[in-house]
Amino acid sequence: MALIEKLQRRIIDLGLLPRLIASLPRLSLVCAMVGICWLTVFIPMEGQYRRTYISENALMPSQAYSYFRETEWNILRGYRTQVQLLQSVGPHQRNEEISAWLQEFGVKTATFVNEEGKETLYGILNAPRGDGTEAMVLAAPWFNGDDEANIGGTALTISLARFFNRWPVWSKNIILVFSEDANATLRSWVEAYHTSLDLTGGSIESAVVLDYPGANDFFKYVEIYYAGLNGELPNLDMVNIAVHITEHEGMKVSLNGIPEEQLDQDDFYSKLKTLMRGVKFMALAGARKVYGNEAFSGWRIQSITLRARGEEGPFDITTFGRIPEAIFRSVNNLLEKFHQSFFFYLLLAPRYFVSIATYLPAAIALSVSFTLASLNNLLNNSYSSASLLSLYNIWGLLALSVALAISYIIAQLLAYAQHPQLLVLSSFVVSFIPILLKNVKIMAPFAYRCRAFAYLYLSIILTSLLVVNFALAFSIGTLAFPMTLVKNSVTSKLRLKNCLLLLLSNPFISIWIFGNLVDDQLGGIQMFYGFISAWKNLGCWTWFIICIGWLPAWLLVAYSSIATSSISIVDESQIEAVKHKKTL
Amino acid sequence: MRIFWLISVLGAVLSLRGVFANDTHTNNWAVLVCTSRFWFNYRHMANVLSMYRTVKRLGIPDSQIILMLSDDVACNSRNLFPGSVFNNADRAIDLYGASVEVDYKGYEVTVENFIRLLTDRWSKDQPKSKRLLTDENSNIFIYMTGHGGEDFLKFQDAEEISSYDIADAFAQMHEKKRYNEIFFMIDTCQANTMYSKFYSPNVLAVGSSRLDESSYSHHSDVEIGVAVIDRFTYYTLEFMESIEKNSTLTLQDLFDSYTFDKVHSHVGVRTDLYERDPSKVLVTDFFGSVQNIVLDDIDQADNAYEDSQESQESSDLPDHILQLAIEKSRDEVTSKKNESKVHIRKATLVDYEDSIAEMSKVSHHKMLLEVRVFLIFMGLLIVYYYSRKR
Amino acid sequence: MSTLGLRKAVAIWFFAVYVFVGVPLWYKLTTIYRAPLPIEHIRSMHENPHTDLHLVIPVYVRSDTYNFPDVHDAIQVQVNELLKSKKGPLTWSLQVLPFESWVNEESDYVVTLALDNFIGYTIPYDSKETIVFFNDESVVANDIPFFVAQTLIEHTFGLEWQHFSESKDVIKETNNNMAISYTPNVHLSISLLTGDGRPVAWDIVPTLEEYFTPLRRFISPLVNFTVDTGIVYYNDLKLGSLSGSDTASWQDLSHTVDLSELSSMNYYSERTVLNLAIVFPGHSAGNLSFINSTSKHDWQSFLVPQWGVLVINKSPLPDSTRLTKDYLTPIIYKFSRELFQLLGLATQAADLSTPYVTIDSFKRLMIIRNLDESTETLWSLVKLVEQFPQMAVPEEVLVNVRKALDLRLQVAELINDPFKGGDAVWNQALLLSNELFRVCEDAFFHKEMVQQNFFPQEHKIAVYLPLLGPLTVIMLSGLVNAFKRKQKEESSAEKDQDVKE
Repeated sequence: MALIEKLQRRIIDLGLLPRLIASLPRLSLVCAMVGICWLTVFIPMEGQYRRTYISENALMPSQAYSYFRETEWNILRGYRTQVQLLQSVGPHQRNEEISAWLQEFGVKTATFVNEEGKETLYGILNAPRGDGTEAMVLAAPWFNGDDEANIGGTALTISLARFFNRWPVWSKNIILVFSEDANATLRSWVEAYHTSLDLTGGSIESAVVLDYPGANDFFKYVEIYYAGLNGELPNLDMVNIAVHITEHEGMKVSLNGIPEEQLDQDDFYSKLKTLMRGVKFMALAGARKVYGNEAFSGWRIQSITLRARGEEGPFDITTFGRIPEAIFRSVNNLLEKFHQSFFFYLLLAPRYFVSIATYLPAAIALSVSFTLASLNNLLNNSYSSASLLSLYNIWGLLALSVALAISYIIAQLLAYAQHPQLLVLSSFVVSFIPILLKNVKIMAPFAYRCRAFAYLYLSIILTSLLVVNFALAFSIGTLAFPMTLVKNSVTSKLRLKNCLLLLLSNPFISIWIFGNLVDDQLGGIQMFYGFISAWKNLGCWTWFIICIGWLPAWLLVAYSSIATSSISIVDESQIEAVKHKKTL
Repeated sequence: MRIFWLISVLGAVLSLRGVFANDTHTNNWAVLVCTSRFWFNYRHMANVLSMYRTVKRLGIPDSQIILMLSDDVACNSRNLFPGSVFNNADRAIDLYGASVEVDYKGYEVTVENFIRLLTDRWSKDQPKSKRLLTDENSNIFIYMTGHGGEDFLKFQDAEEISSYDIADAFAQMHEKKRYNEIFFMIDTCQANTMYSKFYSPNVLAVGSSRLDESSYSHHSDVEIGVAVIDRFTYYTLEFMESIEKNSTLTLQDLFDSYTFDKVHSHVGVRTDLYERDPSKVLVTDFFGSVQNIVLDDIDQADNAYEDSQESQESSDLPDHILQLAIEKSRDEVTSKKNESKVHIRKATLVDYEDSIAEMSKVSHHKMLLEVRVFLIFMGLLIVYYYSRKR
Repeated sequence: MSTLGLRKAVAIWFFAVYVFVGVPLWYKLTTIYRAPLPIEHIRSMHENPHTDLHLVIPVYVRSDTYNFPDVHDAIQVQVNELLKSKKGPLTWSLQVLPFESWVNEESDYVVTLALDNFIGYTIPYDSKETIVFFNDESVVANDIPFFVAQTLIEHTFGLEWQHFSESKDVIKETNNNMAISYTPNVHLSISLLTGDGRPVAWDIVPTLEEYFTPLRRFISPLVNFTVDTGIVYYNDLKLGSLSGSDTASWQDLSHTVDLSELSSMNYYSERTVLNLAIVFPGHSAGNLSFINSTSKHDWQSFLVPQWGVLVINKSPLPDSTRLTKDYLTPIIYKFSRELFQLLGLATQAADLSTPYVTIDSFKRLMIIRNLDESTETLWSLVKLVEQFPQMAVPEEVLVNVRKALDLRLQVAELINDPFKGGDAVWNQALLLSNELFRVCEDAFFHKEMVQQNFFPQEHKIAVYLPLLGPLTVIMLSGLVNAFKRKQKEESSAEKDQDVKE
């Protein structure tokens, strides 16, 4: 006890506490900087990341020889030709035809029609010697995420199914899925499988989506996509075995859409690039093009998408087919669900990763910076001595709830009546409040309190989001950071500054700018359509988090940037002391 | 406290060593244990089955082999060759044929069952085929494989057996003279620690790797997709393939055949508790079952039989035990029957009295406990009322 | 303020219940039950194993020709002298008594003094009687008592003399490699094996009924045999591999023969199984060269230590044979003799020349052996119990130990009594000693006495501390507070008083 007393005395002597409080704004800025630099500068440095390894000993990837080779090529070509011919007929007829092919070699098939009328054909290969309680999915949408006809992928799936049928080693059932597209249809199938379908094959352990557009026999390299919706990632073991097997067969792996020329680079910038692209893909999952593995998120299914890219190259389609064969052989060895390796990680390269313990400080720092900003607004002004239940606090909370309500209405409204342009415009207008409402005055304590609550609220949101969806938390934290710099608009210079900051930190404008700068697919308004359709079709919450997490805070800050009038506040505790002295 | 007892037992044991240093054994037993399950531990199953095949080939009958397999890889759905277990990628020998008798399978392979097996502490209904019915003339070969560590061996992913447990079990076996000699072989990581705590005499131990060293698998089969044999067991089998029932190779030859280059770990041998010199001990003393058959060429029988054939009635001086017995049985059948009846009745009476005495004691115990609980309850009630009054 | 007294009382009461009722109860319920075995008694029994045993066998002397009124006393003196001269592990003696009319010659020992022209003795094959021949010179020289004593001790009771007086340790002497260790119930498995599948039948059951069943009845006080018979096809115990080579001899049998198919001990409830296997080679193997057939029969028999007898025939069976009694009876005759070797009653060199006497002596030997083994078992039990303090010792073990000690007393009483002799007594004693042995084994191998290193003392602390730790702390601090408060209030009350004053 004496030690702590000594420490306390030291602290008081040095006046540490008041100094800390005084420097809160600076601290907040520093924290945010630390958070951003942690991810972008610190992690890709040598020594901070680890080499990937297979945690689950039972997987043993590539230990068994893969036999999907030249013997299957002709069969594959045959199916491919037939599939090409089926491109011209309607989906229903197409599915019937393929269903007949599958039934020829013993697959039980069924068709699922979702709410929009789109059909999904699926079949179940029952493991002859297994106990049939678990299943592995091999999916090939007819039209892939780029809206190209997935001719190679579907032909490969059919011939792989026929190949698997002749092997007695399966301990899990194999489910083949042919959905119309890789997007809403596949997702609705997954949902229906877990709720209403009659023909099922047990709980799904893993899913591999094959994407091989075109009828070319040869390809150059393989892209692997693993980011799921809402920040869910497949178990690192799943990605690792996919990478291991692909490289074992000789092909190069591209993660997160890194173009082919940059695949061989192995320096700081390539790692940083892969890392940041990964973060972007995770944050924008659902809004961007969906390649199929996102459809399986939310059901504890480890899913990845394999895309064959390039037209001429040393590898042929059967080489590509060996990847799912070996993955299935590996996953087949498992007795338990994936549990050994990480569920939260960031990949810096096909063979390098960081786990959550290493990258989490980035988002924590951002969240802390918001808290510090909130404290700053609470303590660093003359109204800090107001009691907890004073009017200002209650009004602040009320304002927060009002902002929440407004945001919710906006979110729902836009989900149904999609006019994102209107949204952006109105955001623009609201950002100029400090200038427009020059003559309206609000009381200073309200301003401080509103801001404090806003930042506190955003900090809570970010903290809750940290672990589950790191990318989204990090992105929101970075993009919303300018709003912490808003101060009371007392001078016109400050007012201008506030406008700018509000503009920068508005959710919609900021996303619009970000989309235009960073992503080629989601330029401009597309982003909003993307988010909204992700919410409606895929169940992705990003839209709602932005609206309900970010927007209320921004609204409060916008409100607080209206010109303020300062008042004096009576110190109630002092009055008490005076009273007491009088009685004594 | 433990050390004191250790010393006292050691002293007692040492004093008895002289009496039980029996060079000759008359029967051979083998206890083969595989402690790990799951498909990727195929090689452990293959290890044990290879040893099983070896000891059977060299003559130990199934009734004297206790085989404990914790998982069934032959019928695992992931096995590309259902019903077969191989220990080599050339798949020349199928270890899992029609004559494999597994005594403990699946979840029956537990630490408790293993200790019970060694110390023979079972309930009355344990079948004979699952018991180690050895006596003081038995040589026992104990082989264990699985995943291990320092002073422990993992059983079935959920429990561990420590080296102290095995040492204590051997001590109990020695107490009850349940073995003549034990040859303990273990193939796991850090295997040598498992025999470091033995203190009973006539135990020879060999382990595949030292403390902080791992034991490695030898090779995998690309069709089956798993490793099929461990290095230590692979080289043991290589040596054993050259052994037949009449082989004169000794255990020292076996130990010399292990080199670091082959096994990739340091094989350890513990001989301080073993009386004989390993270079004078035949491998078949432990791995095989060699009977010392003796020719019986005394032809007295013929004469007796012929004599009895010639004279229809028994001669007045029978000189063969059978004649004697036949004579006696003709005379004394009834009186013998009466005698044995009396004995049976007497024995049952004694038992009955004992059981009555037992039962009364047990009920006495129970009653005391109930009285105590009742008293406590009353005390608490009194406190409660007293406080309420106030 | 006024409730302070009540609070103190409550605190004290809680504490009292906790300490005086709770702690003993917890202790009682969590200690491992270890039944109190009579350790000291067993220890003293182990150190002095035969102090309470004094085996006495009554012998009745009668004289045919001359009437010697005090010869039995004289013989007794000589017997005692002779026995005193050798100090063996067990004290035993003979009670020499004059022959009475009620003595049963079939079950008691009788010495008949017969006049002849030489000094000698004989023990006839079919009784327990010892006939000592003397001549007139020996009467004059008064050698007869000594001679009779010597005959009795060294020949009639030769087995006892050898094991109880001459050797160092009763148990060790009775072990040899050929014989099984004694158990009162033995199973006999008689099998006929043929190397190929041609059908064969045998008249084993009538043969056994006629010749073997009387033997079983004869020997049943000592050992009980259960018998099963069977035919095994396509198994020639790998003898076919020896048929080709010319240099094979019967010594190669040890390495070639494969008895694993016949080791059926798990199918029968008896602990020990002896086998008789009659083997015919298959037609593909042909004649076995190493078997020397005699004029009488075409087979040779081999003893396998502690397993049984192998009867190997030279030539294969012709088609559809039936093995008749004529063929089987010599085998049974030979086997019965070998059976005694396997039981330990005879060795190969010496044959069973005086079966009644030998079997009787063997019974006594086994009684003593059972007593010794039981003592050893109880001693091992005690050592075990002391070595593992964490091991539970259930009540049943104590019951068995008490029963064992009781049985031992009964046996000792039977064998120590000088006037109790005869078949009934020895059979009873053997029965009781077998029971004693079984009870001791049950006590030692009780299934609850499994000691595992998994529950060390530290675990107890780890389990109880989270539960009892906070309770104790709260209890004690409450008690302490209740009393401290009193002091404080007293002091403040005093202050108030001062102020008022």
